[in-house]
Amino acid sequence: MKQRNNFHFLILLVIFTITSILLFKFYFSQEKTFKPQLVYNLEKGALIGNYLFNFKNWTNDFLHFNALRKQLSDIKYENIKLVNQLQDFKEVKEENDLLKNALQIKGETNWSLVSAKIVLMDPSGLTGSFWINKGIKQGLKRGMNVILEHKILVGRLEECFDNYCRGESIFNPETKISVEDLRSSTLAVAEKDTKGNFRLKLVPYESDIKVGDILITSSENANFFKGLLVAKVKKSSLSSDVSSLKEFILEPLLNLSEISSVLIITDFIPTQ
Amino acid sequence: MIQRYLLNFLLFVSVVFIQVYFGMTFFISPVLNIVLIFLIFTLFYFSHFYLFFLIFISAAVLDSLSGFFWGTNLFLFLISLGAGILLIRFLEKSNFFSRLIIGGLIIFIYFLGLLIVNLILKTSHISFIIFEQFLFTLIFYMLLSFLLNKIRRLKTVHS
Repeated sequence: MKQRNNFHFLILLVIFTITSILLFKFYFSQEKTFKPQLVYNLEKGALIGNYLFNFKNWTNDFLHFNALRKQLSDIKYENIKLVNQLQDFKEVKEENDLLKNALQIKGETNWSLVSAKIVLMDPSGLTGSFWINKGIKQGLKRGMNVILEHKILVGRLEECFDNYCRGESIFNPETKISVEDLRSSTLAVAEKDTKGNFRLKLVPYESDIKVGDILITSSENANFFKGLLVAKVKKSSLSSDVSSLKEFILEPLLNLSEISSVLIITDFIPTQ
Repeated sequence: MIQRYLLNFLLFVSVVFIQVYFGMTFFISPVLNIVLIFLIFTLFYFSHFYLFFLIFISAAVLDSLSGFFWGTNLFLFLISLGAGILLIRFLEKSNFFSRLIIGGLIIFIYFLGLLIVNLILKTSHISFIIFEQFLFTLIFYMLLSFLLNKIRRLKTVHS
């Protein structure tokens, strides 16, 4: 009886092992099929998804009520400041035109752009990935830059399928962006820190970066087009390492409420 | 019996849907892993083969959308819930505190695995977020366990 039980156990073990191996083999070989199929199926349920997403935003606002109130009072204060600065507007405009010419942004706006809708985002909250509803059939390729209107950098495409592409936003922990201060032309690196703050690193101590300065992508980037808006300098911060370098906390210009659709620059693929 | 499984599967689909849309985030931020919590409860009340089936679906969804290496979530779910199956052999699964410990350990193993995977891949930037996510998920699991235990007790008192 005991021998028979052992025999049954062994047979079950063999069946279980073979099934597991086959399942693993199947799972790992189906990556290219699973991904677009899953995105397609989930996109079909987007109506309920939108309700859930709106509810999530509402809950988020509710939980951050005090932060929003503070933000509102800051905006009111900034608004008064802006009204006062309106008088100097002409002067600033001239300065901006001069800087634009210097950076040759004007000549680079003849990009071919494809607009796409963001259909899904990273549910784990760890990678900053997003899925768009355009793919290889619409001429999209890995490495293409994704932007918002007004040339705000969103990220780049990481993998493309026939009708869908997965992109990685600038909030991806592995993303380092070489940036340039629009006012002082100082070069530095923007990246996420361990606490999730967007931080400006490798800033020379004698550099002239001030709070409120706008940062754009510089020509040193291997992955991003030059001249795309990245962030605003929020406040000065202590450097994490003992060196003669300064650090700043940044406020990304990428706004969560603006990202239902994006634009992809199709005529430029940075080096990979 | 089949009705129980069908109901559980429908609930699973809605939980995955909620995780995908409610948890979706553009920023790097801690998100509650309700799929993992659902799988832990399934481990206690349903067959292990059915659990494996759900693990494969959950892993396919999370691996596809999160942009991690393909198979990361499958590997972690199998390791953590496999450890849970082993723990059930040593701890009494009908006891409330045993279930709490088993569930807590499964959550711990899953997030420890995630942390190690990210450290190996040198993305230490998100280690703090993983820790926060671990705490959120653990606290939510414990709250849910207490709540379900309370409801069950009330039901038995009334009946």
